[in-house]
Amino acid sequence: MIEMKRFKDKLAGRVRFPEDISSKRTITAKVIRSTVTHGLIKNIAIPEIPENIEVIRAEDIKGTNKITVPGGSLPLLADGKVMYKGEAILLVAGPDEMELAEFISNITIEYEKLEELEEPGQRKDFVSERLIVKGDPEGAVKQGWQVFHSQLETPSQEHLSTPLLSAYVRIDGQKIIISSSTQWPSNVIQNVAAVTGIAKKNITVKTNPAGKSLDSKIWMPTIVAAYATLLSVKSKKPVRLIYSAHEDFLCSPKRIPASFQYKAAIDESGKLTGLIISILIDTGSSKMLTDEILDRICMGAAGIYQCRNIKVTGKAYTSNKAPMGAFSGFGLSQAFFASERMATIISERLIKIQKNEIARLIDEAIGLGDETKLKSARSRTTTDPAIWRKNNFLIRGNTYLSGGKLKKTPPSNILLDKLLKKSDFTRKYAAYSNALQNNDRFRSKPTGRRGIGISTSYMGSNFLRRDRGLFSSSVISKLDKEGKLTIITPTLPNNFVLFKLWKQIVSEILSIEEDKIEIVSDEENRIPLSGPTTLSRNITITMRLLIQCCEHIKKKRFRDPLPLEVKKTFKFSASRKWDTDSYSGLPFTELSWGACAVEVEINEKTFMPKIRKVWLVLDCGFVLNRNSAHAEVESEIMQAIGWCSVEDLPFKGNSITSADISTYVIPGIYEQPEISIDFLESNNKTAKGLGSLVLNSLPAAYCSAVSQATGFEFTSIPILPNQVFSALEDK
Amino acid sequence: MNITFNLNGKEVSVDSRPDKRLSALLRDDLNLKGLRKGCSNGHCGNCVVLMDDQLVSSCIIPAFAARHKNIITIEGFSQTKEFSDILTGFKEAGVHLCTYCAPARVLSTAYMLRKHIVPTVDQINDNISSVQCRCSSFSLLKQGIIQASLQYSKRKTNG
Amino acid sequence: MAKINRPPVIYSPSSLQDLLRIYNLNKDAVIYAGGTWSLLNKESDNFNLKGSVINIMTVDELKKINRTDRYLELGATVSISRILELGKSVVPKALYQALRQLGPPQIRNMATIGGNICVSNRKMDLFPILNLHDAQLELKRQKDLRSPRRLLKGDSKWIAAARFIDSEGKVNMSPGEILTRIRIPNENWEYQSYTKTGSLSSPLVFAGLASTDKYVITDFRICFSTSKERIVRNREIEADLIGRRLPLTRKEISYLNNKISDVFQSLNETDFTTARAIALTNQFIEKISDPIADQDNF
Repeated sequence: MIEMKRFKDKLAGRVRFPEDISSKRTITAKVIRSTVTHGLIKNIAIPEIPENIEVIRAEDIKGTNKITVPGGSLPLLADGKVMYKGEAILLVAGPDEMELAEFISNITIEYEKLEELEEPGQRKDFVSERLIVKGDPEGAVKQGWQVFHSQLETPSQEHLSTPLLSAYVRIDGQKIIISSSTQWPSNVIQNVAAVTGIAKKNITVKTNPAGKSLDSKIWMPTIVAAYATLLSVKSKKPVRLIYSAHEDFLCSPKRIPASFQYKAAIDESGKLTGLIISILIDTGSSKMLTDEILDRICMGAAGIYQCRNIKVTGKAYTSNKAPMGAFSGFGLSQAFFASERMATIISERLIKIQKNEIARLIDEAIGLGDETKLKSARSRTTTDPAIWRKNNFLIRGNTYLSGGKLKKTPPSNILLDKLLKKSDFTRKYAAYSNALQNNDRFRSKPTGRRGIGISTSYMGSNFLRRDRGLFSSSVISKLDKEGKLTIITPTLPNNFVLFKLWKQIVSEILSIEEDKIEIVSDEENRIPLSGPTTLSRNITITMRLLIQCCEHIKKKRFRDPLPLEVKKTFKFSASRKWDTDSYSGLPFTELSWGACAVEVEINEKTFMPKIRKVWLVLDCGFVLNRNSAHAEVESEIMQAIGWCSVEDLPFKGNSITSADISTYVIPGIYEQPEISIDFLESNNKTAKGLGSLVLNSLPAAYCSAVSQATGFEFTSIPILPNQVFSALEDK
Repeated sequence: MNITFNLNGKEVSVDSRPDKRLSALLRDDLNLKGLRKGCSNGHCGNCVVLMDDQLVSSCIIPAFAARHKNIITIEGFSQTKEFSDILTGFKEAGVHLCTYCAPARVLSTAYMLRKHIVPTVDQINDNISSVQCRCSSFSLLKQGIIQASLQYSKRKTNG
Repeated sequence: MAKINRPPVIYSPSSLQDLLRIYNLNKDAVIYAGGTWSLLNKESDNFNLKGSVINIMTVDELKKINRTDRYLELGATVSISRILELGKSVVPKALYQALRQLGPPQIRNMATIGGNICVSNRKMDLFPILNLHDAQLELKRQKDLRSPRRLLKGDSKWIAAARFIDSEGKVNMSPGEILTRIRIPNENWEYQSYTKTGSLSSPLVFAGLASTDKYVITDFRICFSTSKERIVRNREIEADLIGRRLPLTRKEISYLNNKISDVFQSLNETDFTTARAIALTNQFIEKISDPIADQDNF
């Protein structure tokens, strides 16, 4: 199935990245960065600049000294003030690396250190806020039979990217040619034009493969490209800028950390009646795609459960950390950790109440000597996290947080049923709970501390924000007289299987041989406005546009003269109304659904939770290629495991204490658990997105499992061995 | 300093600082871009080469330590039949690798197969741990390595 | 970006004698063996080494492996992977396990046993087990012609691994001294254990050796290394267990746990580290108490 030549070139190392490109005239660029976390730049002392070295300061930038994305911006070079450690202050470039290093070592920057920005609890200035109210949540909470409170937190995460952030820029006549591993060429062009004053039509972006993107650096390559372009324009020479792994670790975007405060009210039957949620997210020193991320977090935090009365308050604050990034899930991963962990917490606290009630009834019956009452009390059962979920899942006719009505019942129940069967959750959950109870009751050592947790979630493809810069997408198809079809898209898919699949689809529609089909990226900038390749847009949007183009050509090819060119542009469906400003309507273009179970065992010598097995049941529509889907899910499982168990960014306050990347542990082959993956193709016509479904589901299931195994209610990740120890000690 | 060594079967001589990274020397002075820049810390494995038949991280080897050694990079290895075995094996198993780490995966697999034509699970896991990248599906990679080893042993048996 | 220094002078001695002579004249020289630690954390394309570098990988005497009935002797520049290739029948099991966990294959191919012992932050992996095996380390220096010992062939001494680092984790080597050989006695330990656990911020290494005869502990040794780069070994605890009958009673285990706790608390180790140390020791005791035959006693 895989295109052989491309695969061979990939394995033979023949594919080039910007860090590989060079020429005799190429000069090397370096970025001089702040060594303080927050401060004023008092003085920059630059020695006499040799003829062959270029230096650019903030004041030298002719255009705008910032990089913009829809809804946000950040300074390109610090101008008078630095907001995070590692912020760029100067750009330098020269042909000889040693001479450049010597020059740089003689540059001194004096700072006046400032107090770091206050903790979020004390802040009143927020860069982004959302308040969504449905029904009467305050009233519902007041009148709730039981009200549960919890504070949940999700940490930052580092991508550990490959390839390194880099850009290669050269000038060809009037044209600027930028080689970059970017997911968003349109953003590169727009910003480089704004920064340099060069017309967009004179800027070409050659996209190189981006490796495993994780959506961590959607706009970051734009910054690197802008730096390299500024230096290239000034020096009139090709420029190569490569971030070192240290630099990347220090100042590239990390996953936005979030904290959630929940108040959940239930009635006597266990139904959720009211939810009040407060969310705080740290967006780093600048607001970038923060609005989109916050909107998605608010939506996800409300969960997938019926509740007529919900209030969600979301706030984003700035800090003295490098600007934070989207990462897989675009905020839904953080939100679903919180909402799904909360769902389990509610059910477990309800279990406790129910057990106490049963015990009371039994005592009462014994006291009265009433056999009938005793029998009745003993036959009562408690709920469990799965039963609670099934009783509360959203169904057709219910509304989302935003008020949009569900036209059909989501597949959550079906997914959960299959998951329960596969994982044997119900029996294991009861068994592990009993084992812990016996430990407490009889003070005996359990034979093994095990736990099992479940979680359900969805992934919403495409953006909530209606900024054209985000959601725009077009595909151009050209059939020439020789019968060759050329397809122009903003970015090529990194996944060769998808690439090959597109060719197959086109070949089937137009009855053209695959070797007569060429899919190229839009180097001539014929699609000027296009959003980033993220949130499964390659499958849910680009591929469908491609099909539409081919269907159109099919109709016209024997009627209209060749060459024939068709352009199709994405438009939101008129029937799915969504208003960003009022946060109302049907939020996502499409939803994929997932359910996850995680079983863990605590190693009582090392206090490390070990994942025994992960079960996933996923509904992402028609699965285009099982192998590829399986591979995608597996690699995401490892990312999710890393996020909730071993990855621990060494932040002290706002600074990363060690930029030695060998200290940042990511899980590898030895941490891989047994995995069971099932795809439920409920709609076997349409392919939907798969990315980030695992990250939205696994962490909450893991946290619940470890909580059961330790008997301690964990409410944040990562769960490190010393925390497990403390939890067991407290018991 | 003159650094002379055997590179992909040919003697080469480069004038370089003795403490230049071998990875930088190979990439920049000899234009061998198949090995990646990587972490510069020896851990990610993206810069591996075979030096005197040992898999090593070229980013933490100074140029002087490469003198008179036999070095094979992916460019040299991709001309061999072993490379075809690995290519076939990975293709049959449908292995998914990102473009950045793929050459390193190939070289580390080759290193393992040269030592163990029929590797055990433990040896395969050890081999997989040599390249640290978030892209891989480990189960497909394992299958690919097993397929590659079958191809390799078949070819060795048939001569 | 640091200033780039002048290129270093590289010495590549071909013999041990040459090496000692050069090192004696250049006591500030950087010793290059596998380089897996000394060259890390540098960003630029050059390692920017200062002064002089002595490449001891060119010295054949340091690459030798010698095996007799009494000991296994490893040259200081023998790579970790070469030692592992000797197999579990030659390399003591716990040491084998320790070496196996030192890093991915490409690091093991380059890292040397001598480098691992001498370099800060890395020695804590191997030291506990070398300590337990009463390994001996040979240190050599260029002979001082003014000294009465000048008639001896070089200036060489064997030092017990336990004395090679002090209680604070500092290496006990004088300027001009080189580690040349590591000698590990061939002993028949019935039970061996090695566990490395914890993150980089709170690592803990446990090593244990034990022998029994008719359910009586005849020899027992345990050693830890912690995040504070300390070797923690208490011979009182070991002596206390020798001669005891297996399985130990609850009272004996409780007494042992309290002793371990006291030792760790006296070193200001955290409760977390203390708890792990106790748990790992208990696990080892359970293993040696298990009467099941034919198990792999590792």
